[in-house]
Amino acid sequence: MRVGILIVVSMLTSVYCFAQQTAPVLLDSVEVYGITDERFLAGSSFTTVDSALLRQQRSTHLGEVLATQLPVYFRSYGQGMISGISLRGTAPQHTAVLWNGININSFSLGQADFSILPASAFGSVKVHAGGGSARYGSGALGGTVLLTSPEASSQEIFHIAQVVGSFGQYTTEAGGAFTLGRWNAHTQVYHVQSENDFTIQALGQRQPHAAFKQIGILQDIVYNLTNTKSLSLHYWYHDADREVQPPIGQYFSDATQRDKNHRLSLQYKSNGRRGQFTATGGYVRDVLFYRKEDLVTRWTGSVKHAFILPARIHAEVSAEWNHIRADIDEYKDHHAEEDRFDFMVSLQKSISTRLSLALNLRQPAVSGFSPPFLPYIGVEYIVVKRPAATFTLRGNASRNYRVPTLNDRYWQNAGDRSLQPELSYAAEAGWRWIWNQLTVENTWYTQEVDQWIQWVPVGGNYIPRNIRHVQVRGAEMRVHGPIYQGIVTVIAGVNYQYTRSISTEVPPNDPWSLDRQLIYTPVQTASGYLRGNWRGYNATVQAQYSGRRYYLFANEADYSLDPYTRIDLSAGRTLTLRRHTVTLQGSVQNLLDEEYRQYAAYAMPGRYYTLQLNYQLNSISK
Amino acid sequence: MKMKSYMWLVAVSAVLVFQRCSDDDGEKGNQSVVTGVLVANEGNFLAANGSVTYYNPEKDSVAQNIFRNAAGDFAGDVLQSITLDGERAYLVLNNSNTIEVANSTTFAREKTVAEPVLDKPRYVSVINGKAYISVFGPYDAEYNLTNSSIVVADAKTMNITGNIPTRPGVDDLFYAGGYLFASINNFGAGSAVSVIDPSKNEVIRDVAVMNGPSGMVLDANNKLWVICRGGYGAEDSYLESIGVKNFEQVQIHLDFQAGSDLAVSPDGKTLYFTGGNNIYSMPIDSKEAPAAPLFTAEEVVDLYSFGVNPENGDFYVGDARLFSASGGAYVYTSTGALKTSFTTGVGPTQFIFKK
Repeated sequence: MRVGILIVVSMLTSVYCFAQQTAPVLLDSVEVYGITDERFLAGSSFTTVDSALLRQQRSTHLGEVLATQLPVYFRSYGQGMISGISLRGTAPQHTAVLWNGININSFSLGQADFSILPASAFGSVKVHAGGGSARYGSGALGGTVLLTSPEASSQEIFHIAQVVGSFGQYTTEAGGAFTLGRWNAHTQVYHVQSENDFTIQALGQRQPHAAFKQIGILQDIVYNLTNTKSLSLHYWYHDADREVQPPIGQYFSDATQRDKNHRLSLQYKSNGRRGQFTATGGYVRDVLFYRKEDLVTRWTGSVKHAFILPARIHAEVSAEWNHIRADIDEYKDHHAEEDRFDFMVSLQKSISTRLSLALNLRQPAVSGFSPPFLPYIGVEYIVVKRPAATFTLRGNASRNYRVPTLNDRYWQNAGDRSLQPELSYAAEAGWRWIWNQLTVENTWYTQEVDQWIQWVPVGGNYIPRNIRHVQVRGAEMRVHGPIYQGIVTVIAGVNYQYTRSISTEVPPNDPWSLDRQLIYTPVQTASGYLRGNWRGYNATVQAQYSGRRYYLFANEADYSLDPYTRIDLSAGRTLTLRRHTVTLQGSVQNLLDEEYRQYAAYAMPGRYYTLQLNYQLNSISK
Repeated sequence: MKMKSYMWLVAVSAVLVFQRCSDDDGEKGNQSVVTGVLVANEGNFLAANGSVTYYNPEKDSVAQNIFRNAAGDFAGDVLQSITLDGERAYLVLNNSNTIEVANSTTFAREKTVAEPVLDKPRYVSVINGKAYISVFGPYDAEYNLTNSSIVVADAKTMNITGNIPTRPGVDDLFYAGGYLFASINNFGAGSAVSVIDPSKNEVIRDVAVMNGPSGMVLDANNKLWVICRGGYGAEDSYLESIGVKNFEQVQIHLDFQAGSDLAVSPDGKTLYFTGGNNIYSMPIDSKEAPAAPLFTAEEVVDLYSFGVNPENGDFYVGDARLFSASGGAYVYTSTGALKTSFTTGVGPTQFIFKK
């Protein structure tokens, strides 16, 4: 039973690590073949978001959680509306979002909409900041968000949660898991709805036409063929229906948007004497209905083999295939169907207990054009290694790319099939100091993005061109960890980032944007949290800050968004009686009632409240 | 611990309050507009930063953003046009679906008109106390306009009193000879000028013209001229005149795509229009297009609007600068010499000359 659970966990997290006591039979022969992304991307910066935190914020979307855990900016077209991530000074299309290893960015628009990624739909959320195309593929310039399906905790049999909030918000979620012999299954359903008629502070009127509703189902099944071989299926259906929030002062809007996303992943994993073999098949069906239906379907297949080379070099060799087909009315001039292949090799070598080297190589092939060869090289060196303190130096350099979106390439009278992929060179260096679990990190990074695609007016029409060159230079500082551990535990985190994202080459008729910060890209971003636990009680305060954001390329103060600070407060109590756990959690969002915007004319709500009640039935623990 | 975080909150709020105060750039809008030039600036689509610039040619002074709507920052989303009528200014916000009524001297806001029938409004013409408002109406699933009309309202109260259905894509309005002429542009696909009889509030005639009719002027001979610039990427355009009594037509072919603005000299005897950065002139009795431009607006990057000051014949050229920056206006003498220039809001789209 415990072995089974462990295997499930290892399948879900792709961390394969047999503990001695759970697999005594295989003790002599099993090697740790599959190593973590953190090790294959040695020299990089990763952030893992605690799954308890995700569950605590059930009523929010993933972007709202990440904004307090990372130095990151989200640009939302209003509350509950399209929300794009800006990691390390890049645009939303420069972050790849991977669900169980499958890129789920919209292939027509290029970016992932975080407003339709509910916080509690994932078991683990990990963010890799910086260039990572060599490991994560197209679009991983600013970073990569890695999502996995939820895992039931080892005790949980069933849970049901209800959230009520301001502006007619109701979120209901229920889930359960069971293990039967070699089978493990987990099911979760959710329903989110909001009238979303908050008061527009600038007008003193209710926000019209911004209601939204989301439903979803997650199904995960793992079948263990043997102790070392398993089959797993992950399915996620999300249906979002929303009124499109109009800009402030617009009356009688009628636009609505419907998204229906089916995502399926089927994986076979085998851990043998010669290494760990993984085969994955996937299917993604993205329907977007805005006046008419746009459909993008994708079949994906990949094989991966992790093994150990002589001299204890960890190696992973993989190949991936994607078949993409778009049925979009505006592409009618073209038959938008293509194949993409990727071949990858990842190597990691620990030269001593202090020095770790990593090399990742990827060669993509896309029908229609030849993408570049993508290397990543990283190094980590532990300078000080004591039980209570470590000081690590790290660095990496990479080449990254992004395939132009289907809209860029196929849009009628505009799309250009000869567009080049965007290409970036990125490098970073930093240090990490860990002292009694308190971590202080500092990273300096730079990136040159060439062939940056922008839609420019030509003869009264807008067409995409590889026309901009953007130079990103920045630094971030992060401090996080427990600050007090006793009857009361207190943990805290503070993040700060300073990024200049400058256009160093611009369209010839647009000299105003030369040497200016990219639009909607704050130079300064900060966030932080403070969490305390005492017996069954918990309290959290979290904050996010964004500096001034310009929305004209020329960076004029009259056309910019004021800096803002948003603080959220939450407190709760958990009661456990035998097998029953009940949690009541209340929160005050935007405590300061700050009037802020993430897009020029789209209102965000002032202070509002949520109350969450969660019941969990646990298995009989021994 | 608690005390400390509380202090931190206080400190943060204090900083925020301080920032708000220091960021407040004061009221720029208290400049009176007695005579001079108003510029309607569209603003960026969906950014609701349309604005009004006031330029006083006598003092060579400029005031930006002289009208602010109820939300307080700008005029609204896509300021398409401004119509002055006595003490009132009607600001048509195409994507806010509103008409802001302001005092035409102080530009203080008097009323925001928002009605379901005002779906994508374009222009206002005031005739005998009635406001005629051209309205695109809704799109269908293919982004075609299907239900355009001219909405009639009481010009004082702005209560809607009537609705005149038109062909799809009704746009610019011009009152001449007792009739209201409406260009049916429909994104360059329309090809008519509709004639409305204000005494009956109905379309009495659709005069067929070439594709994309836009700006209209009346010449010294009481002939209405309309510039027909074709659709997106058209390679030629037409100037057409329509007799305001007998609807007799004259057509002149232009071998380039013209801008959408048409202007006339103070004496009504010469027409002015643009093509790219070139400014053309044509006598009203000419039988053919000008062979060469009058001059080229070299300073302008993205010519977006054009007007002629009826007081002195100066040319005003608006530069939208790809909506990447604040726009610019360049003033040229009637011979094409650059006289002055000034900054406008984003996307200067129309010049209005107030006497």
